[in-house]
This record gives sequence, structure tokens and C-alpha cells, in this order.
Amino acid sequence: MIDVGRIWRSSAGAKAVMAVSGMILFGFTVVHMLGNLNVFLGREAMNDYGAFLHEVPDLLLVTRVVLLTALVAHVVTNIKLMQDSAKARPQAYKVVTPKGSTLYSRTMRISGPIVLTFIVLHLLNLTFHPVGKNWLHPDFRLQAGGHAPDAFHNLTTLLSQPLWGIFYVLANLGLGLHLFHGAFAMFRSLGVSGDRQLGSARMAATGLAVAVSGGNVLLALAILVGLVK
Amino acid sequence: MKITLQVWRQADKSSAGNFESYTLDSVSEHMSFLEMLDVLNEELSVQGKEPVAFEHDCREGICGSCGFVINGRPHGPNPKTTVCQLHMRSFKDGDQLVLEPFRAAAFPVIKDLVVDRSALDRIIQHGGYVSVNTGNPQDANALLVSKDDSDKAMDAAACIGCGACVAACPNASGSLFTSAKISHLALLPQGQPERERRVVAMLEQHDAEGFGPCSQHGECEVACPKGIKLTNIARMNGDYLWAQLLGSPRVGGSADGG
Repeated sequence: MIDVGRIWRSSAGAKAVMAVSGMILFGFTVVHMLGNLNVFLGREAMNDYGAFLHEVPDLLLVTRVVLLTALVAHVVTNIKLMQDSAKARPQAYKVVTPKGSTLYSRTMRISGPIVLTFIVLHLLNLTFHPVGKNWLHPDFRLQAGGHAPDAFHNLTTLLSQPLWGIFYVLANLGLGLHLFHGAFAMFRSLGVSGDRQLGSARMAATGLAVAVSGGNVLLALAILVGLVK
Repeated sequence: MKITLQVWRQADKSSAGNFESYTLDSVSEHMSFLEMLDVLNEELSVQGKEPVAFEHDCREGICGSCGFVINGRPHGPNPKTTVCQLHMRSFKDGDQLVLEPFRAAAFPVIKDLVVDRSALDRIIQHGGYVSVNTGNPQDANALLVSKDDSDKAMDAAACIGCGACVAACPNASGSLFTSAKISHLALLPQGQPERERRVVAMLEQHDAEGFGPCSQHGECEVACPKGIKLTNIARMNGDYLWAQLLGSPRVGGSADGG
């Protein structure tokens, strides 16, 4: 029988959990970014897209459960890994001269919490507003008919406020850094060792990371400077 | 040339250490780094002080005995070079060098720059071998190995077990060492019968020794004096997951001895 606990406790197993959960979340950010592009097509396109996502409630629920599970696994496993690595080097070097690691690999512990904070605030901003209002922003409204929120209105009113707009831009740059290292590491964590396969997989993932971060940043900037309203 | 050293001095495993400063006024650029330390130790001995302890054996870059951290780089600044093969011409007059032992919970300091690396030996004991039946040797050409596999296995087998990968890793992971020792057997036909059992036992021993997890930073690959590749870690990860998720039932790590 497969001993899940034993795999999770091992360093390679825990990293595989990070890779798989990260891959699920990564995939979600790609779809999410593509969906966001509807904003550029105008209010109707965006709200139709929002309504489309809510069309099959069961599917939405399953998606949310999968994403939440992946997120929890990613965060909890990361806490274990950070503890393991802190224990592995109790005494730090006096001089540290990095060579070989990248800026984004070394900043995973900064970009991770930024992304997590962003996810929480983003959900509070735009997803969980059951009465059509939101404690972070009182001007949110439901669409005519009562149940589907006016996503376009909510998004543009939120991001046209400078502080929120700038935060969304910075958070998506942080997301980009995080995905960059993810693209680099996840295939190796899962055992892809062929140079060619690894090269192609990483190139594709890096391209997607740039697209996700870039697409979202462009969108937030467009709303922030008033190109989309 | 004049070199100022800040050296980690620690009397034994249980004492607290500290940095001591030494200045050498006439270092020859032709000296190896260890010869420079020999000169320092000669001076210290004459003054009746305790010489700086550091490990060394072949001084040819092949035994894996030497190694400490110079200004944040294991084995110093030069690529694919052990500290015994590092020469003072790589530094310039007036340089200040901080010498620290390899820092890892799994590598306790024995004295000054000498650390106990027997954790690496224990990882090997947990499966870094092949079991071969005795009897007449078979024909050398009976087992065919592809050139590609043979090259990769030989590259992995070049690991001298110095521990620089652990020293360089931000997580103090021994994954590069462990994966090299697993890979050079996993790529060859002789390593196949014990492949699954080996990867599980060695990787779990690596964790039990207190080495950290691999975050794929790539610091180890750059620090390695033998150019061991990060792809070995990917192969180890894949083998471990395969063995645990899809492999045949196998005994636990402890049944492997050691």
C-alpha cells in the first residue's frame, strides 16, 4: 500500500507535493488570466464570462475544493520544508556569496507570502460578497436580476483606486517571480531528468509565467490609468 | 602579497567558536591555498599557538578530504576546483578572506575548519552499492550499456564526496551527493535489481541525517568541484516517487542494514 505519510515526510516526497499542488495552482492562474482578458472586451463580455463560470454550480464547487486543497497542501508542506531547512543549518555563514541560484529562487519565501496575502484580499475583494457589498469596498453591486455580481463594475471600481491598483500590480509581479522559480523547479521535483524534455517543459512554463504575470499587470495598469472603465 | 585571514577557530565539538584574524605579509602567488595555511600554521607553532586545523590528503583534487568556505564559496571562488588545487594567484594583494567550516547540522565541526562528514558514509551504507554474486567473471561485453548512459553514469561517479554541495546549499541539503551516488548505479544494468530499494533507503537516510530538502536553487552544481549535474537530483526524485507510488513492495529503510 502507498504510504502517503512516509512520502510526505521525505524531502523528495514533500517537494513532489509542492510541485503537484503548485502545478494545479499555476494552471489555474493561466486560465484566470485568460478569463481576465475579457475586461478588455468590455462590460458585457466580462459579465457574461462571470455568469458562464457560475452556470454549473457543482463544477464551480469541485474547482474551488480542488484549488483550496492544493493551496492548503502547498502552504502546509512549505511550512514543514522551511522548518526542515532551518534545522539543517542552525548556524549561518558569516559571508554568503550566492552563485548559481537565482533572484526568484532566493525570494520564494518573500514572494510566497505576498501571493498568499494577495489571494486572501483578492477573494475578499471580488469573490465573497454575498450581499452584493463588500467590507473592503462598499460600492460593489449585483447585476440586474439579483444573483450574479457585476464583475466588470466591481473590478474597475476597485482597481481604479490608486492604492488597490498599485497593490494588484505589485502582487502580480510577485506572482510572476514565484511562478518563475516554480517553472524552473517543479519538473525536476517530479523527476523529469532528460535534458531535452526538461528544457522544453521549462521553456513552456516560463513563457506561461510571463504571460500570467504580464497579462494581469497590463490589465490592472489599464484600469488604474483609466484606459478601461 | 599580503593576505588577511579571518579564520573560524573552535577547539572541539562542544565548544563555541569564534573568528580569529591573521595577517600573512609575504604570500607567494604560486602557493596553493593549503600551502598558505601551512605557512600560517608554521608561524603559529613557532609562536606557541595552536595551528589551524583543516582536512587534506591527496592535495590533487581527487580524494575529497579538503574543503572549507572562503568568502562564502565552498572550495573558494574558482569553478570545478577543490581548495587544495586553488592557488594564491586567484587572489590579489591585500585581500581579506573569511574562512569558515562547511555549515550544516549533519556536519558537526570537529575542530576549526574540520567537520565530521560521516553522515555521507552512512548514506552510502544504506544502499550505495550493488550486490554481485560470486563466481567467475562474465565476459566484459556481455552487458551492453549505451554510450549516453555510460557517460552520465561516469559523470555522476566523479563525485568525490567532499560535501561542498551541502555547504553551498541554502537548505544544507545533501541531495546532489545522494543523487550522484544513486545515479551512477541507477543508470547501469548492474544497479537495476536494487534500484527501487536503494533510492528509498538512501534518500530517507539523507533526511534522517538532518540534511535539508532540495529547492532546486542550483548552488550545489556551481560549487561542485567535479561538475556533478542537478539533473541527478531530478533522476533521484523521479526514482523515489516511482518506487514509492508504482514500485514493487519493498522492505523499509531500516532492513537495509546500517
